[in-house]
Order: sequence, then structure tokens, then C-alpha cells
Amino acid sequence: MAVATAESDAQLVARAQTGDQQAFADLLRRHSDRIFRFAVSILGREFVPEAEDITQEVFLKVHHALESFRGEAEFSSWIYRITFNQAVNLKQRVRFRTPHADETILHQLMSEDPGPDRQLETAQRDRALAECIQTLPEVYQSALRLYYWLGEGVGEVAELLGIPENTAKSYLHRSRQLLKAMLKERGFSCD
Amino acid sequence: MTEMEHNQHDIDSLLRRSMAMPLPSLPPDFDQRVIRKVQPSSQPLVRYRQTLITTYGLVSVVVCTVLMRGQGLGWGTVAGMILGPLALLAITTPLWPTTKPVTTAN
Repeated sequence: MAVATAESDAQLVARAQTGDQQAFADLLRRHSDRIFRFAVSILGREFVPEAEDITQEVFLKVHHALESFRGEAEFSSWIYRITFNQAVNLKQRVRFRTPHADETILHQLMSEDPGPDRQLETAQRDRALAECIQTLPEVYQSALRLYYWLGEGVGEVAELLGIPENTAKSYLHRSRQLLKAMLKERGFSCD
Repeated sequence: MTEMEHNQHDIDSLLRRSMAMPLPSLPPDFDQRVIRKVQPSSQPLVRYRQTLITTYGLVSVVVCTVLMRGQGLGWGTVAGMILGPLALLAITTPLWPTTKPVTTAN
């Protein structure tokens, strides 16, 4: 009995380069969610619609440039790099724009914390933490969101950012150090 | 536990609590939307549509020309009234759609 095996990215890319639209559709299906999550990790949770736009732009760009892709790097590394550049460029453009309202934080706080004082304190600290995260280098921010929000492992963080695993660990470690110091400076504890 | 590990544990817990939010996801038709945008316009169905629209356009132009000339309008006016809207249409919208069915489901 024949067993159907999934084609590798390289095989799908080779077929897509000959104009096979189904191969491109397979690549899209395989990578779109990951690209979207990576874009969200760079832009932040207030810019989910923009992350969707970035994901679409990345695949349009990939489709356009597929013929020139020589396979010297992994296909996934190539599209992660395109995603990072696209998302960082967009972030520069929307940096001073008011983000979409994020009511999730308020809802979560209202439902979990016991008293109004505690709620206020937690809300202030979370707001301060979010602001501190925004001041970190892009790769640190992305690593934090991938790891803590989107639930990726250190290996996946490293793969998406195109860095060795030890470097990803180091980014997370350094981010935590910086955030701890920044929160302390603003008068918040981490307890 | 060392002091450094303790510090990291505190901020680690805080980050886990503070960043515990619902995960966003792409809309279900996202892949299809992208596929539609990258399709070449060489499919028979698309060609048929193009032919149909072109034929309709030509017939309309001929009928309009005959009717307007019948009303005594000059060739310049007739040409302006037909080509003006066409030029506007060409500037504001892409003339030919580019779609082709490709499955994104398993």
C-alpha cells in the first residue's frame, strides 16, 4: 500500500517555480499561521489586523520573488526574514498611531482580581510592563511575545528570529533583566 | 535558588500572568484570498469573461454611436461621450479580474 508523504518545502518551491499554483497554495497553507504569529509578535497585540495584512504582503512578495529564490537558505528562513523586515517597517510607520482598543486586559483584570485597589495596582503594573516592553529592541520584544504570549518554545523563537537557540535564551534572559530593572525604577515590584 | 534565579522567577511569573491573552488567528478564508490575488489570468473561464465583456462593450459603443448620430450629434461629441467614461473607468479600476480556482484545503 502506498503511503502519502508530505512534500518538503524545497520540493514544493521547485514545483511552484515552474508555475504550479497548487504547490504555492500548499506552501501558503503550511506557513501562513506561523508567519501571522511571527508578525503579531513583532507588532504587538494591539495590531492584529496589521499583522494579517503583513502576512498577506509576505506571501504576495514570496510569489513574486519565488523565481529568484535559489535555495541557498531554507525557504522558511527566507520568509521569516521577509516577515521580520515587513513588520518592522510597518511598525516604524504606525509607531505614533493610537493602537486598537485592547479591552481584553481590562476584562481579564476585572474577572480575576479580588478588590478594586488590587485591580488598580495590577492594571497599573501591567500597563507599565507593556510600556517597558515597547522600549526594548525589536528582537527582544518579539522573543518575549513569542515565548510568553504565543506559547512558542525557545527553539521556535530561535528559528523564527534566525538565531541560535542559546542566543534566543540569552535574549529572553536579558529582556527579563531589563524589564525587572525598568519596573523597579518605576516603583513596581514583580511579586 | 540563587538571587539571580529568584529575580528571573519573579519577572518570569509576572510576564506569564500579564501576557496571558487570547491567541489571535487568521480568518478561515485567508489562504483563498491570497490565492485569488496571485492567480494568472489565463484560465478559460477568465478568457470567456473577458470576451463576453469586450463583445458587450463593442456592441454598446456601436448602438450608442448610431443612436447619438441619429439625434444629430457631431462625431466629436459622440467620441467624447463614449471614450470619456471608458477612460475614467480604466483609470479608477483594474480592467480584468485575475482569478483561478486553486484548493487550499487538505
